[in-house]
Amino acid sequence: MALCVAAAALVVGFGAQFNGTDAYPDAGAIDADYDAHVGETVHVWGEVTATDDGRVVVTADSLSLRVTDPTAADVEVGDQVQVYGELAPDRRLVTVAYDVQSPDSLNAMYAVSVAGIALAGGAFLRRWRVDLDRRAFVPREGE
Amino acid sequence: MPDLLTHVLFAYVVGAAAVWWTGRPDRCLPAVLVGAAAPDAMKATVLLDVVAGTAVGVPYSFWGLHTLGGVVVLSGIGAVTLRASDRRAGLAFLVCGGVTHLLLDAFVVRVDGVAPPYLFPVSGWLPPAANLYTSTDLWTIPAALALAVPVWVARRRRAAG
Repeated sequence: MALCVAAAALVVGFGAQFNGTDAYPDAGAIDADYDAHVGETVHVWGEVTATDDGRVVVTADSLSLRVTDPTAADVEVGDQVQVYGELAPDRRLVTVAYDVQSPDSLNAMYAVSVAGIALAGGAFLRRWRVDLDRRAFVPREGE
Repeated sequence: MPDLLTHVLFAYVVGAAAVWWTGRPDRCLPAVLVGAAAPDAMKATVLLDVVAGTAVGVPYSFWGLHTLGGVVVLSGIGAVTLRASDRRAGLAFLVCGGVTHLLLDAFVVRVDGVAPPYLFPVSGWLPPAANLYTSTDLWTIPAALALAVPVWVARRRRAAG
């Protein structure tokens, strides 16, 4: 019980300290008052939602930005991107650095991650079993 | 935030060293693997799109569990599922695994050059990002296998004779 309270405290404490800060830019807050944020340097994790006319649009929450990089040749709609750069008027972002992850590569990452969870769980259950009487994991015989 | 297979394989290497170093029984080793996977339990909230925000006026972020404090608390929750006599050692090995997770995540590419405050709530320090790989750079798996397989073979040989 105390551990669950501690977990909740971490979740709220982290939110209080970092939500909407430079470390964790709040895309929704930027969108709500865009003009006030022009000139700020931000780091946005979003999705490519359009590549019309060679211009790439990245959307995070309600915020959509036309970015200077990556270009339409570098990405497809649906790619996940992190972009770092300066907010310019008219919802543009002058990109300093970016990274792209395709949905296919993310799916592959999830697939091997499931294998990792299975490996950890399997290794644990090979040496431990559930004791229903004690409602706890106990070592298997010989361990 | 490399993939979890990389995390678990790397944790196996560290866990093997830890049981060898401490002389604890082999059953402690899988606790390191489970501990190394635990911080990413909060990724479920990322997939559900509820990772951070405000609820009834209170700001929250499940990234708070993907930190040193989160490792200790999640390991504590894991440890109380073990029988009483194994809890203390279980906690230590779970925390060990969680720390390897945060260590590997410090090398993930952040295009702003800044890694998250993994030492929270001890410190709000934002370490420089080592920018070595992203979560989808699967070359980390063969790299981790190159470490884990020789360790596994050595342990098998030692157990056999």
